[in-house]
Amino acid sequence: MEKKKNKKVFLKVVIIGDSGVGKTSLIHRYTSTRFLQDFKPTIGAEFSNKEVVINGKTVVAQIWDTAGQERYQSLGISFYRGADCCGIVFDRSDHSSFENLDTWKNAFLKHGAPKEEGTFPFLVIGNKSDLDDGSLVKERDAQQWCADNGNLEYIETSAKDNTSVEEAFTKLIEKGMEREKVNLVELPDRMSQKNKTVNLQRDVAKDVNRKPQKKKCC
Amino acid sequence: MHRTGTFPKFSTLSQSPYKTGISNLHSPFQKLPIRNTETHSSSINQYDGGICGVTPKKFYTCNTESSDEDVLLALKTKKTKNCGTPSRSIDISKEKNPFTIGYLKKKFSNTGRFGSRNSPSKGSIFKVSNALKKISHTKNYSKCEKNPRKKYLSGYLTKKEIKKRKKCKGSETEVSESFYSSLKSKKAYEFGDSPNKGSPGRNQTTTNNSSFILLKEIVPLNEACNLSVLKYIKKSRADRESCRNKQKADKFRVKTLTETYEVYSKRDPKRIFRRRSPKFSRAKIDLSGKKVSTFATHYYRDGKIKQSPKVDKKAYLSPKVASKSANVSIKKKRKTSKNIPHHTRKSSNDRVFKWNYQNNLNLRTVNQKILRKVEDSKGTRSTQYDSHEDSRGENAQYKCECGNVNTYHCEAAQKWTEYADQNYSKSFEYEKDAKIFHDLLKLANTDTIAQESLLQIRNDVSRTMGDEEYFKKSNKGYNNVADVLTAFSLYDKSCGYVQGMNFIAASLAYHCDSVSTFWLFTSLIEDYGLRKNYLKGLEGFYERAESIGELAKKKIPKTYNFLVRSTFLIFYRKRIM
Repeated sequence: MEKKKNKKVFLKVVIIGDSGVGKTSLIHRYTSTRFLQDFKPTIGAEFSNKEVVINGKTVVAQIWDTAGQERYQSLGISFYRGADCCGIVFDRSDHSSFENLDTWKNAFLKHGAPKEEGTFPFLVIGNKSDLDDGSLVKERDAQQWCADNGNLEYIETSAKDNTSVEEAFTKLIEKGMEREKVNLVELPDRMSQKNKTVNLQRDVAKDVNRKPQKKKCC
Repeated sequence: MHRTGTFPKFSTLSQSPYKTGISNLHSPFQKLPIRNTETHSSSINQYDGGICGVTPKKFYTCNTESSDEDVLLALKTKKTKNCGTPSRSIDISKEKNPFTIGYLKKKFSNTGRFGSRNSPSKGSIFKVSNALKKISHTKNYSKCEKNPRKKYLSGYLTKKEIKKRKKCKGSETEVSESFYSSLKSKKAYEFGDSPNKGSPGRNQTTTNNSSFILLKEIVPLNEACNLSVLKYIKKSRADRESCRNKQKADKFRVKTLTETYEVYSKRDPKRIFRRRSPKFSRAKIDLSGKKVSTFATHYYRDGKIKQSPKVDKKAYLSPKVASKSANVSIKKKRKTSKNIPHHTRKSSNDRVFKWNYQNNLNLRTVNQKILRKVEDSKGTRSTQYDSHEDSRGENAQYKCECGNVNTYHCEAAQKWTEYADQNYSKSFEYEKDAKIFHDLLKLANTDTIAQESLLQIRNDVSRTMGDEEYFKKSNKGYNNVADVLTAFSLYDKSCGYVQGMNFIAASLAYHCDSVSTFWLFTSLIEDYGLRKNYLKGLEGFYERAESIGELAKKKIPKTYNFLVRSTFLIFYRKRIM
């Protein structure tokens, strides 16, 4: 049993949505527990790792942050492959981003090509719920859309106030864990425990070590 | 090939076996009889003409039936038959070292005909010198002997200088020098005479063995040899036989190499490989450049080195020694290293300490330099900024700390425009460009396509360079960048606005007016190949990613392999993804 505990589960989480919806701020909130007001638009894609203990198992979640613009969508497609779960984010104060949920979901299923199309774990996240105007997207509309598209789960978050950000990601990861174990990659002990770092300086050190030997004379 | 009496014309030299193939060189050895060094009765005819690796000149200058002594006499007395007289007389008696390479070079170069550049005689000399270069595999051998040998071969080094070089101790140097000294002095091997009085007697005992090993290496390399070298070879028949077969020769070469390692370096040859095991040391250093602590760390390439019982753990894993070294000065470290057994001492600790010490010094100096630069720049910048604010005035349309030129330019921006003018089809004229720019902005209100991209632009511009107040909302920088991007999205509709353009535009807008930023921005994208990156399909992006991947393959193969193996998809490839 001890061996099983040591092994870590590797999960690939992909988060998609329109640009300016708050994907990066959500991920940044989750991984580093901060909110950056001066963030930059993501170009291409970025990823960040986090280790979580869920149901007695340590999980290495690799969270991929994709670019929202359509031009970069062809590039983001390459990151969909091999994903274990997917979170679709929309801005509650922006109705157009809510309307684009269909296109995002279809694009993921088309290019990511998961084995089970019907039961692939999605999670719909309504961000920016701290903006209390009257024109927010209502819960009813969002949950109706989720019910129409294969009983997806829905969560309202705000990265600024840190309301239910962790819950959303834990739900995502739990859903990913529920999938067949065949798809999961269990990291060997060497990767997870001992060699966490990669020494990039080795080659440099070799070269440096050799040079002074040459110079020696007499 | 057997020549009788008649001397071949000079034109046949080109057809001589020297040029046709090296393998022919060894054929005459088969016919060579064993002959004593004392008797020189056999004629050169038995060498089968001039094939036998000796410099061919001598055979062509004399009759083919003449013996060695005759040749020498001919050289001395300038009596040559069937051949044009050499332009200069050669007096061997006066020369101390007639058979060294430098001597031969000189003489052949002086005697115009034989010293012609394409003649085989000179080629053979160079081959010998190349062969000697190849032998210098051992490190110490190459260290001390690289330059002096070359000089000596070319005949520029005198005896005294060589004696100076002898001070650097090492068995290799002694051997090599003795080898040349043996070549220098005419000995019993060459003409059967008693060794000359002038020859250095000190080295004679060592030369016979050590120089012989060198010769062993020269011969299997299929290189033409000197006269004296050949006569060494004639001495033992076994060596001749080994030279005949190439396969044998190759094996022989390997053996001799190991022998030379043992003889010259007096170390086991494995040690050279052991030395390559990766290990390096680090040093913590303050910002001020003072050394805080040093600790030596040793890393292994693989688990293999760890597991091997031959490697001493003391040598590589030296945490105790390293921890001591942090507090103790370097002289004391060497004392401690003496306590460690002999075989481990030199290999790891001492060298690491040395290297560490050198590295520290380097880092320290570098840090000091950087600090000085920073201090200087601070002092200058503050003065510049104060003077600049006064000169810039309120009318300036940009915000930067460079020199002021116009209301719409700074010094850096003017350099950019001058540089871009050379490549850009249109030249920069402010009034004309201002018109185009403002016309494009007017279109933005009516155009439907632009209004879609306007939302995107407003989204992105608000989050570019958010740290600066100049680019915050409702400031001058914010408006400038937004205007430039909207104008460009109308100017180039097929490309439009793409995320990532905002950073380029903002960095330009820091130095320029909105009109000149627009002009510089378009010149960057059209003439400097940035447009590919933003077109649909992102062709330029993939190209650059591939080129980075190939560079990483060459420069940092280990990390590249690690990244490819792992699930991270960093180096994109077309069509695979």
